[in-house]
Amino acid sequence: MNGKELLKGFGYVNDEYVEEAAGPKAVRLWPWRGLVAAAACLAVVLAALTLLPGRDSGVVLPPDGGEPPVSDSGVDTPDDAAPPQTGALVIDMGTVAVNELGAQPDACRIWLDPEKYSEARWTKEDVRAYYGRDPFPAYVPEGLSCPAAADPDETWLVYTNKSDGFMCVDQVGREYATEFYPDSGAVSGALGGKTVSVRCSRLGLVTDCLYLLPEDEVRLTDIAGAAVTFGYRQMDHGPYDPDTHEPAGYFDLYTAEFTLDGVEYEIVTEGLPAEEIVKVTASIVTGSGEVEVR
Amino acid sequence: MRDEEIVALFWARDESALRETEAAYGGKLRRLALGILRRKEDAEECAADACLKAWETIPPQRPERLFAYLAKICRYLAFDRLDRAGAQKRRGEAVALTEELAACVPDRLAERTMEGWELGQLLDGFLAGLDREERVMFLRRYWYGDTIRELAGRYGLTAGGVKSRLYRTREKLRTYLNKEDIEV
Repeated sequence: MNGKELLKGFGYVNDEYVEEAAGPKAVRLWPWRGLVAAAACLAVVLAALTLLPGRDSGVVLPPDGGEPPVSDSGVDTPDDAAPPQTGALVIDMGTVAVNELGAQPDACRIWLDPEKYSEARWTKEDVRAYYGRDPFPAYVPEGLSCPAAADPDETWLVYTNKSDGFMCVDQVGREYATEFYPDSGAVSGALGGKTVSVRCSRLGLVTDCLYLLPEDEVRLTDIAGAAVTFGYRQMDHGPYDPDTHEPAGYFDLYTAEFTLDGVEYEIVTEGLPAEEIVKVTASIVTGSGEVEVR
Repeated sequence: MRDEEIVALFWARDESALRETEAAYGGKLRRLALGILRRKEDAEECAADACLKAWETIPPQRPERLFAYLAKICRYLAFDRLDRAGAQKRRGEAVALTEELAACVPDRLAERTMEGWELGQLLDGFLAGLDREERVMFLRRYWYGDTIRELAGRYGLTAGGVKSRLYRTREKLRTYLNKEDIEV
């Protein structure tokens, strides 16, 4: 027997083991941090539990918790009118479950017949009025920006049905990146860029992330009371070797999906570590940019 | 569609069985074949051949675990294709897998010729003694042909961390195969 025969011999192992290994596995993040994080957060969690009965899973609200403050600013500065924060939201990364993604979400918009649907342009005020809050993150990773958010005339295209006047496309979103092309598109993770894209809709987003796990096995994470589904996929990028098809490199793609006050949110990050999507997510949920992860 | 329903289509000689198989497992089979062959075109052909082989063998076979059944065929065909391509065209990852496992073969077994099913039984005994995570990582490497980088991404570990875990498991396998009470 040699190595090659032994390798082939694996082909005869029990089907049960083959299927067991075929199943996707949620990425286990920073396993060595478990004990350290647990010890570091224990005192904070215990203190918070006494103040916030009902909160669990290692997610800790500021001591003055209560209703999430609403931010109406463009990017990463909390609303001046929002209640002052006396402490940051602290999230133990050991409590964050990340599900393996089968495919990245496709954010294409559906085409609507102009004969039947009317276009409208929403301003920032329109968006706040419709969603009841600023739906964009109060925290944005360092080095990323959204030029459109700084523009007071930023608008979003939405549609209503001409026959009954009902809203039929209410999706709004923003893209934050380290670099943009002249036509305003962000340089993607495949080209070395770091990006965060955020979309939301009260009617429902038309695309979903595709998780490898069966739907009832996808794990949720409690972020300040919101049930968030995090996803991960290691993406490869070209140029690809013409013979072996080996990619030139890889980058991380994380997703977060959740529903908050009847609004569906989807966040996608490229080229950023998991901590960042957790912080962006938490900042949308709480409306505060004061977020720490451990 | 559930496995039993797809298998029922095979038994009814309904060609939609192939379409449903492709929809359910085509991607996973191509990924498996790609891990061994490292050429997209070869992997696609191999996965398609595996489905056709299933068409030829179901019935009389009635697999309870359809993916495992298909994957075994696909893996076998992939290694067969590598063998036929000759040593010069063997892909780097398959050579690496072979070399890694060669170190697990104790001297007392080096001269023995073993049938595949015999090795399978032997490996079943070894795998049963591993904890689930260790077993899955080991099989991801030596059954599915995952690269070290892919495993690192899957487990949130560094490449060095993956290598050291695989090394420890291979050492366990070598010790297991070297035990006097292992009948071969």
